[in-house]
Amino acid sequence: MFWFDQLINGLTIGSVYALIALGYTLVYGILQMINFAHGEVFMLGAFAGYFVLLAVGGDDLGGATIIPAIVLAMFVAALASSSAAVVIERIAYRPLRNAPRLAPLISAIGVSVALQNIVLRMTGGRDRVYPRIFPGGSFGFGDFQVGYIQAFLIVASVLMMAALLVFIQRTRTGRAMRAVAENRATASLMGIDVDRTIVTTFVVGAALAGVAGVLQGLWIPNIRGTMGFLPGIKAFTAAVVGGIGSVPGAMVGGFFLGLTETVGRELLSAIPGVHLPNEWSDVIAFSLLVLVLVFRPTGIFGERVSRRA
Amino acid sequence: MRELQEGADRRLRAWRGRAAGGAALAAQPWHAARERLRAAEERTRLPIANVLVLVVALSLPFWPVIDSRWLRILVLVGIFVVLGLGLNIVVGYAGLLDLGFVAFFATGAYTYAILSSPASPALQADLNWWLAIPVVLAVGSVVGVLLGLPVLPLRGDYLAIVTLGFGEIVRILLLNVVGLTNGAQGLFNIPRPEFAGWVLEALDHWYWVLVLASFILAFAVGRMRASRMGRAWEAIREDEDVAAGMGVNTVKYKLLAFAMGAAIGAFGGLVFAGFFTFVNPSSFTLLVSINVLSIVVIGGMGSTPGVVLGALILIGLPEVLQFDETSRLLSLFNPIVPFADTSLWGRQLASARFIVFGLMLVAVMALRPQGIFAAARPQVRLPRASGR
Amino acid sequence: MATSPAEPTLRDEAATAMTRLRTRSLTMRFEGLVALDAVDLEVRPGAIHGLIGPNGAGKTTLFNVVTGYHRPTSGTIELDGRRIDGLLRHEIAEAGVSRTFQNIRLFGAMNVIENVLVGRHSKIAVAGVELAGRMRPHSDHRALAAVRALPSAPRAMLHGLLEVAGAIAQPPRVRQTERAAIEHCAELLQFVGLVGREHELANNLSYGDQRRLELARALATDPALLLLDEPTAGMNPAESASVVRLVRRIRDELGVTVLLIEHAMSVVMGVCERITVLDYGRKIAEGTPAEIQGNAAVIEAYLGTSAAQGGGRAAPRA
Repeated sequence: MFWFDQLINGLTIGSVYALIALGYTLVYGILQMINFAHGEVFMLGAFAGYFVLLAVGGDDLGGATIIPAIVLAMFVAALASSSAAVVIERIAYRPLRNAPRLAPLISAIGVSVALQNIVLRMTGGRDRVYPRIFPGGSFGFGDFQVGYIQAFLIVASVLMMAALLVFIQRTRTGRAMRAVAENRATASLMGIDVDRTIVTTFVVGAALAGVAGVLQGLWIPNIRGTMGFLPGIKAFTAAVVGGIGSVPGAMVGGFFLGLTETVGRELLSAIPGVHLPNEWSDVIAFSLLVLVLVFRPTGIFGERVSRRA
Repeated sequence: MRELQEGADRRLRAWRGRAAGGAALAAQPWHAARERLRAAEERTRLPIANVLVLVVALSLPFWPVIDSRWLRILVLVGIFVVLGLGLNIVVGYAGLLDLGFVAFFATGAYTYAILSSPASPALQADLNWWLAIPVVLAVGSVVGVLLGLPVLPLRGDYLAIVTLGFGEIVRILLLNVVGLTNGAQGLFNIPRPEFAGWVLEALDHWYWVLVLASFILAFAVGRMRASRMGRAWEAIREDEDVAAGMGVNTVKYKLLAFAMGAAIGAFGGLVFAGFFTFVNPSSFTLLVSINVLSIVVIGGMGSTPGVVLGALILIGLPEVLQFDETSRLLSLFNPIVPFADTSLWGRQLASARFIVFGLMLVAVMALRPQGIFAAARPQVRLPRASGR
Repeated sequence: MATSPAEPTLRDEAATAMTRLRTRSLTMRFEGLVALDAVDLEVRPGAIHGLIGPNGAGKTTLFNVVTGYHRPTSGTIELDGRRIDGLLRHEIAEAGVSRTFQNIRLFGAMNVIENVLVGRHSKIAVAGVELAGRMRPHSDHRALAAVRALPSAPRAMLHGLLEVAGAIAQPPRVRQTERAAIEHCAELLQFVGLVGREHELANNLSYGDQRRLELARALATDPALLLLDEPTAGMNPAESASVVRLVRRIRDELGVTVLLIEHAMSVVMGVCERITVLDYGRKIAEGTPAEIQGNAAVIEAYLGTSAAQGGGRAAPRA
């Protein structure tokens, strides 16, 4: 069933976008700044997971061992991405917190370019390939089949998002994050350590992106230094579509974008005489970004911010 | 005209005479020191200095050390100087962070390639390169306005990410609109510039053309900046809302900034196509945008000498680092540096150039946000006839 | 001054019988919050008119609406009998309304005289020729405005081309008007008392001088009406008194009508001939300082709480 497959594909890639988008939205909520290097944080996670899977056996993994191996890979990826984010925040953003608005942006672009090329250089410019350890079959009935890997991606990311919501709503640190996002000065007066809360925000967003990197690697095995660029922009688009600054918005936006670009491209291709290669997914995503920013800058959930100086 | 000016001077002198505050200030020693400083500043802006730079630049091909390798690098640097001058208007003057500048570079290159390459699937018109200049400038500025319109209401980071998307869309279009661009194969055998039998082919000729073009562009951009248009751009960069409240049509001037930047970027593309006689989509990636942005930021946002210096360092230096002479020179350090082959340093650094650029962007923002060359400020001063 | 910076005296003669600024049932709503509620305001030509009220009364919102920073939800605004609501911000500036800001907003990285020159923008020739008519993209939605402006696109492009050509070629008319503008700005700087600081960066000026620079910049547009948002905020009594003198001179010597927001009662009562009081977006009183001081509603809404603070400040009379 072709359209059902497209739907599942859209939800799968959408779950990756949603996880990355959360990082953008969290940081934006607290600093009103786009963390341009977030796509690279995602990329680092994918690589960290890759090396863990190689170390614990690579292609030889099988049976019951794959679950602990994948959990370990995700954990290490989250750790690696978070550490990278802490360093980035410390050297590239914190010194510029009161600088003109273009400064942290340019600094972030610098970090992004440097990280891409460091990894490209370390891998000799060649793709690395995730070990294919996940069972390739599918389940469902009749024409409606869902691949195990896709189901795993969707379920895993939904669980992560649920955990994030609980963290933000129920824990002390989560409350501190919301307070700082609401009003940094007041939060500071209330005894909240603003610097630490900002770092925590980066860590949480980066951990999600790192896990997203492993998830995508399990599904689409080729990884390289520049792999973070497109998902980065698209996840940002997802965050904007959902209303940047809004956590549920980023989740919904991620799935929405995933569906729009896969199903949308196929819908356009269904027009007789039109054939659109895969890259047109990117064109659809960018066009959506521009349209949303121009016509509905609030996104679906968020406040109006894109015009703020 | 002269009478009018003299009249104006006289009135100003008269008015100055009444301004007791000014006289009191002038009497103070620190004020005199500042005047001297200002005079020095003005001297550096004298045409003499520019003429000197021009003469030195034009004479480079006659220097004994400058061989064809150097000239090739200098031509490449020249193309990036042109691109930098264009982006400088958008980012440096108007403060609009455009990460999709490659779109305009591609527009210029492909406009000429489509209109002139024998491989062009459509619109082939045997257009002469020199006649293509006005065409490319016009197409470039129209594309600049078209891409500028949707982003007019956006500011700062949103503008950056949307223009980033535009750059990517243009590349995808180049790959996929095969009927116009010949897709991934690109367009080849693009004719070199030809005028009355003289074909622009020799490296030194290309170099001279680029030096002259850069000077003309720098002059034009400098004039724009010193006009009410340039002030409007800077006012928009500083505070768009207030600029509008002071009678500046911000829509018009933002579009003008995009159009001027795009036209100059497209001209850079025209030079690129004419020099390499071959274009394909892989030459028009995000890296071009990053390169040009780094040139502008590291050289000094809003500064023309900064663009030249930035291009020399970011484009020229990595090439020079790969020379055999550089390796030999660096190998002299071998005796004092243990565990490393110093002769490889140059090549290693060159191949890691984007890592270095990225780190330089971070470092410049943190340590010297105005870049190597701080933009010459201030621009407008009272006429010297005021007799202070 | 040898040459008066503005020609508002001419404008005055034409408009003496009229009202300089008139708003009719001006209303501004922000997502449920009513910032201005059917405000009728009349400012007479040549007046120094005060606008007072407690914090959040809608004073600055009124300024923002009049200068086109917000579009009113309903109601009309007239300048010298001409509707200006719905015009774009730069058109309102060209029509003759200029303003300063509560939190000083200068072009910080530009020097003092350049700041003033930006205000002189529309008085400098574009090129040797003048084009009749203006592009006016204007709509509730900016994106739609672009679409509606399409028919005028060729003319707008021609305008842009002329602007570029004029900037590069600098024909005599451009140079001449630019020079005249510089001279005019120098005189304005003398008028506000910033002689000798012309080449300093705006950011490097002291707080009081920044306020003066903002005044000079606002005056550079040749306004018929000048809106001052708390011109003496954050100043000591001496500085405040000199700004008040300056405001008087702006009206007396330049003939510019002034509408000002102030919190310091002594300033308002000392300098304004008429005062309008806003509270929760409504006009609750209007009249001479004496009438306002005796108005029960005003005392209840406003003076009752802050008259003591205002009274503690030195009288700004010159």
